[in-house]
Amino acid sequence: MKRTTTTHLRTIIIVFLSLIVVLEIGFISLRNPLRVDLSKQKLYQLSPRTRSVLGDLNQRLKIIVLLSEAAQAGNPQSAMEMADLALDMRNLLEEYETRSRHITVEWVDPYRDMNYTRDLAIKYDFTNPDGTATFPVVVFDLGDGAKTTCVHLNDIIDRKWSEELQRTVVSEFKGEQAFTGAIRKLLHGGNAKVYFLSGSGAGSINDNNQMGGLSALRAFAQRENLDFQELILSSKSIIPEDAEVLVIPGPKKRLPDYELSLIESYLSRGGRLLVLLDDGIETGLEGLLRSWQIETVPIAVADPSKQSGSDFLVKSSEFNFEHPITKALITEARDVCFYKPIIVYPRNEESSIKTGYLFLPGGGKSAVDINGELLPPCLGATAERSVSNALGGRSLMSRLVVIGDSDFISNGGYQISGNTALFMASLDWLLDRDIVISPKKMEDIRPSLTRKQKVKLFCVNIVVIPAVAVALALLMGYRRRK
Amino acid sequence: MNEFFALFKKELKTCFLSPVTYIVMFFFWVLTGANFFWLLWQLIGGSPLSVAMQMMFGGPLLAIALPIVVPLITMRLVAEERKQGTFEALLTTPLQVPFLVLAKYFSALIYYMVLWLPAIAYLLMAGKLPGVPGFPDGGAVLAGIFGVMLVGSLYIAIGLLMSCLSSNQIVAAISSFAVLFGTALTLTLLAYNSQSPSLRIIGQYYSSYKHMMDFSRGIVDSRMVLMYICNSAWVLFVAIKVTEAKKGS
Repeated sequence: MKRTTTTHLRTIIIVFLSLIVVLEIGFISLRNPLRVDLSKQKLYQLSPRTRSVLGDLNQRLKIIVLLSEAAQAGNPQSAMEMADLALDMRNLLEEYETRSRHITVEWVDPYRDMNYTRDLAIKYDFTNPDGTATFPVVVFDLGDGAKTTCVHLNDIIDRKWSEELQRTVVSEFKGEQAFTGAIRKLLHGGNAKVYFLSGSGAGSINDNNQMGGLSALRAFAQRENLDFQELILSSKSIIPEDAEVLVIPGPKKRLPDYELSLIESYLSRGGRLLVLLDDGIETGLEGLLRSWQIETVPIAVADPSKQSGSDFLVKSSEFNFEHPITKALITEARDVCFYKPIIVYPRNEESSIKTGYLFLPGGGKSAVDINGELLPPCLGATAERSVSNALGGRSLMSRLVVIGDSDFISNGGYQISGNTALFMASLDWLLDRDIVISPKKMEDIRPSLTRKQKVKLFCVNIVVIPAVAVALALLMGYRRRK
Repeated sequence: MNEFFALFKKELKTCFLSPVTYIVMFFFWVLTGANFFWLLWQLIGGSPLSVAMQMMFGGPLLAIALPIVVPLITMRLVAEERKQGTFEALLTTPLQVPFLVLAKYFSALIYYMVLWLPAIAYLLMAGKLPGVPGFPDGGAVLAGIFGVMLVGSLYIAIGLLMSCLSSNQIVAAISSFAVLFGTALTLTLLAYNSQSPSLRIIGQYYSSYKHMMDFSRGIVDSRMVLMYICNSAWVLFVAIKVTEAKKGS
């Protein structure tokens, strides 16, 4: 064999071996990814709750996205919105894929892949109870068809009217909430049952009124894997066993003793209770709450920072950042706005009950004078106690959250700043779930440029800067000639 | 090391004295300027800030431009010298081949970085625009610049290898374009449209368009970084071996 041939052969072998090394490094890096988001907004960074849900995932999850960027091609605005949404979803789902190696994402254009979409419609049954078919945007398939669920467009985005553009624009991207909710539903079965106590003038989830009505909360129920139901206790001998949380949403009169004893019994069985109280009403719950080391004063307190008005703004800096409920809200810097709240504060006298406060307006420095007694201006408290289950001998944890206002979750108040987030965080804590992160606000940012500014920008970008290259070329040419 | 710096200096001088350098620079700057103006237009039209940021370094205009621009930078590196007969003369000297190849590579990389300089001017301009607080996002810009450098390092290495393999500049440019554009297009299609999960993973791992979209939104992923560093090093290693083989024959 010629010497050159041997050299070439050796070179080929070395190149081939080095390629194997490179592929091996690539393979190792694929198995152990390290991902950092350097952006300030961190729009697609997954919340601790999502990370925890994905940590529980140990079988194949196929996510099929049915989205066409050319949807409603006659409407370019819609196409642009779909393209932006597709990009948001792509970025977010990529984070899901990175976090769990069991996840695979498949994108299907329903207008281009019509046959495949039809097959999917048959496989996953997109038919509504009324016989019509609604195409979801995302299908979640766990364990090769063992369990499936769908997410629709309305679950992913919220819209609002833009005066400036004279059309509806996307105001919130709720992708993470919707996707994590769907995965959680597949992993942990059905929705958690949350009962709202009905009667005694308490707010109703079927009431559409702005003040007092709670119907808007229903929209969150589905997304958060919750099943909201009304509960009329007068016809019951026990609070249903499947009640994972009982909400008492601002009763307007005293609860019957019979109902109070059922609630007490529910708590002693490891129940979870969320009590929302209003000013000037004796509900009969005072004694029960006192036994849980929580004191209430049914007199509305005024916001010390305001001269008049009934609204009471609690800034996120006034939240207790050691409590899991308010800790999640602090990271999002969401304030909470109450309407005529009352003082609710924890005492810590009995060691078997662990109490905590949620927020302390004014840092607790300014005590409120109630009938001559100086009280801390605390508007929310929690308590938890371990109770033993007589049947299984298992130790259960009863939990209680009391907030000195119920209007903050009414149809007229839930959209204000972090009000819904506070309610959902309270439910999450009661349900032992990781606290959810609120949907990402799509900032409505648009450069306000005059025609003159646009022309100037165009000239600088496309004429002046490239002209520098021409000037440099001429300078070099001149120097070379010289 | 002195050899390397002497060669590097010489290569840099040759590069900035060539008229092709400024023609490429002119067209690339027109393109990046148009890209920036287009993303501002998108913002005015109501596109979210996140989308606009991704267009800054990961826009489709740039994804198409890079496989065209890089071959124009690298085509002359070795092929031109070989055509003029100066390369063979260089190889007969005691100069080490790796230094020679690396000097050419880094000079091209420096020129590539110069090409991206106006992007900094655009970002400064964007920072002064009324009504767009938070744009540009500093972290995302840093990641974007890092991404641009990584993609450039691999593209230039491939272009240099093609230049080493050919003695004709045009052939070197066309083959570089074919390899860069062909692989970029195929891998992007695989990454986004493949029905097969395995092919999609391969596409996602190698597609520079997808990587630029990630870098532009501030994501720095160890897989991408290692892929570019390792593959650039490997392609350079092959280029060195090819040059050494030519020296030997």
